[in-house]
Amino acid sequence: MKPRYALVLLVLLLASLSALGVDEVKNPTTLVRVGPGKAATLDPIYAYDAYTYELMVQSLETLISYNEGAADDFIAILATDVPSTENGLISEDGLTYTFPIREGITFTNGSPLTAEDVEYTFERALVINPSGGPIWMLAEVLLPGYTAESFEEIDRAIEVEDNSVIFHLRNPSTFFLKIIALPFCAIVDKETTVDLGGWPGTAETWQDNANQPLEDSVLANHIVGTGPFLLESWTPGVEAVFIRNDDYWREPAQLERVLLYRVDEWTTRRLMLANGDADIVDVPRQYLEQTEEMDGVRVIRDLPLYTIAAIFLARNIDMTDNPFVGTGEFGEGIPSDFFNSLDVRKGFNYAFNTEAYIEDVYEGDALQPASCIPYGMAYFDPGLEPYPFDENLAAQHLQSAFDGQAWEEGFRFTIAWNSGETEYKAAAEVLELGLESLNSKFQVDLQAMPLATFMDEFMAGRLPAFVWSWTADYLDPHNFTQPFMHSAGFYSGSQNITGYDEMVALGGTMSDGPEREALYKQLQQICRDDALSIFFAQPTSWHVAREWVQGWYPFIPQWSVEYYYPLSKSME
Amino acid sequence: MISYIARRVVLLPVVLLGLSFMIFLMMQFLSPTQRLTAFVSDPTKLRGEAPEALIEMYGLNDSLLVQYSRWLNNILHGNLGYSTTVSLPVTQAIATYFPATLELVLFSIVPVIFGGIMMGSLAACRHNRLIDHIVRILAITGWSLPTFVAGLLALAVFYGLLNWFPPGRVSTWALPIIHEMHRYTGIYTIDAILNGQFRLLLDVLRHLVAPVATVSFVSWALILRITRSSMLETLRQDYITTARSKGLTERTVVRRHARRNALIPVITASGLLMASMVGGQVVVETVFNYKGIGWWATQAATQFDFPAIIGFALFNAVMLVTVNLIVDILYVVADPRIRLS
Repeated sequence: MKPRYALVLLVLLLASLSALGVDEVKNPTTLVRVGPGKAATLDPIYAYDAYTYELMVQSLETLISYNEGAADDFIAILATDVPSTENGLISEDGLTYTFPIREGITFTNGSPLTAEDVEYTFERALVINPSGGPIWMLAEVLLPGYTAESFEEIDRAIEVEDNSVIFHLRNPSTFFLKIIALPFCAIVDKETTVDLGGWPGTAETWQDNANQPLEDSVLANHIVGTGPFLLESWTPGVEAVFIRNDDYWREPAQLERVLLYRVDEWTTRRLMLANGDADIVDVPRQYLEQTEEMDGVRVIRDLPLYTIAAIFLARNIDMTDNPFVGTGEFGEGIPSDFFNSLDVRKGFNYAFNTEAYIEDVYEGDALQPASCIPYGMAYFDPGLEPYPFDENLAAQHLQSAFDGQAWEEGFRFTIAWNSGETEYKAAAEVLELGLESLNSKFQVDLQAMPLATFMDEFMAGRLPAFVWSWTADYLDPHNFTQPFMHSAGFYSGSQNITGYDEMVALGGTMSDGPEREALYKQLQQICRDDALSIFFAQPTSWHVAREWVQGWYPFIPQWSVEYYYPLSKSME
Repeated sequence: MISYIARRVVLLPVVLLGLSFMIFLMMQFLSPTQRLTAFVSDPTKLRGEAPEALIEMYGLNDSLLVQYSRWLNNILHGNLGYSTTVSLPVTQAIATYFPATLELVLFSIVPVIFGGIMMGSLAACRHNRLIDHIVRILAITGWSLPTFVAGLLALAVFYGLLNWFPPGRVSTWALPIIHEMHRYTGIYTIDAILNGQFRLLLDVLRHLVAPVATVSFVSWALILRITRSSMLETLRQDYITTARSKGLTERTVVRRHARRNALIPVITASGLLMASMVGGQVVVETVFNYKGIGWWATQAATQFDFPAIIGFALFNAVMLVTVNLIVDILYVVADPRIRLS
């Protein structure tokens, strides 16, 4: 064959190949969702990230759900009613919650949903309760401790009466419904789970199943739910294919098929969005502006995000072989009690130029929190003023600290963060600039660390200052005061903060009302006045989709989880 | 030759044992807490005694020998461990991701090796003429261009601009077919043929064009330049002058007398190139969303996914030894004077 004929043939072949996909990408009944994350499992009790939640909520359902992403409004799903004191499903003392189970619903394998399935689901969760998993939230309200000491503790917490499931709480909890609505509380089929070799539901076997690692979970790759989609296939780390459940107990979904693709490279995702091969795409913040300029793409900004980013300042630092505190004395280091000084902490807060930081890093799409409780959260105090950037006040406080020794002799220490987090790096740089411009004897070293090293140093309590953020597990102020203020809290424990345990614990067990409001107002005031940390940003979230995607709303307020059931594709 | 192959095969477990112990030893430089990150997707979600419980659960505090013997015992029971990076047992992860890489490599071999040999021969035969200069410039460009730049350029032009070659292994419409058909090999082109799915075959080929072109463009320079220099040296040999003086055509001289003798160093280089390619095309797999074993290994390495790291290393070692063995055998085919013993 002559070369020119071969060339013509090749072009014709390419043209015919390229024509293949044109119709498919415009398929109005198939949605393609693209992002860089991966779902870890199909077993709800191990699910603790947005991608795993997203995989789960299409096929599994909870008793109640957030009403179109509203923080405090719920709709009944597998339960017939949302419990409240008004409808009598929450007892007067707030310790008993009753969920009447909806009848006539079947799992995708044909088994009917029963109250026993619900009881089994929650008992199995509390029995296995994997370390590092989400079940601690349930344990916190249903068990005396974070893990069960005996099966009786679990058994007494959940029981079945007729076709209702009753939960007995240890203390009144205003956030129990917010936890029950989360995807890790999705109901699984008891029969299937037991048949696959899972916990048989007996008291004798509970300890053999306690703290079971993910790889041993019989549901890790198996999903049988009541939801609007069936998981047709799942290649972990690559893709998931959902098909519509035509026997769904509500109206079947409008989409026939949903594809969840993992694409790590942003350029690839952008091109897929531009070509219409992807309908909903995860976009990094720095590319939002260019994405807004794309034809046929809709960007929704300023969605609430219940995340607080802070620079944490540790007290009573462990100085043993600690490379982050210099010599351990003023001049070329800091003493162990450096951040015990309120003047130091306040000086640092005034030295941080939050306004410039938010403008530069978030293009203005973030709020400056005054305390550890974010805007939009119940009992948030709008009257509390964040620390302004004020070099004079910063200097005044630092001059007063340690009777002027800190100012006279100067100091040196390291701020650490998990490498790859550019927003944390920028925050550390802003503080470095703010402090070093006050006094030439102030030296701040910056150190990005791989996650493993960062965690190692953090857990050993060697970091004098570190940048990190906290995203709500459930929408209640207790979920913020606990990690930020309690002596055993995730951050405050590492910071050696003490003195507020009683108030923090009380807030977690009080019923909603003026007393709880007063308590949280007080905790926020303490958080701000004691300058526990430098709370520098509460970012907002966003959503990017092709304009033809209709019916979208945020599904779970604190997690970016796409829910495909209400979605459709049309240009209307 | 059979005893040579048998000796190499027998040596393989020893190599694997040494390699696995070395990796274990290196991992001990990380503290149990550092190694714990492999089992945690978000450290802020660890509560109470969770870190200690996880360290205990995975035996991260045990001595090196205890950990190693436990791992070895699992291996002997056919269990390579669980890769938390992709939520799959390691053996299953290899079986899932390797066929994609193998498919990419198999399709890239033709342009990389045969194309490189052809172009190298051509350049040598047209030494210092226009075609030689063009080939050299192309080779240097491909060699110098970072793979991610070449990949992104290919993606931007052939997908972004022309919409000819999309990323991924197949189009979205083809996924249900993939999941319904019998997957004999995991290599979609072969499976599509065996299942009689010719529309799928065309789609798979369409998705292969851009990554194969990128791999070829950045890889063929090595083979091309070795072939060219080897050919130039061979063409200056006396027996080539003799062949020409016998009145043979230039084509016969090159094909029958020069090229075969020039192939020995090319086979060595091709073997090494193949072995490294089979180990994964990390950048190409990432840019084109072509999830292969290289992509998985990179993810595992960055997340300290220890069972995956060691599983991949062992798998790679087996591949390397196998490819080297094939190269050794090819030497004999190319030059009958060589004896493996």
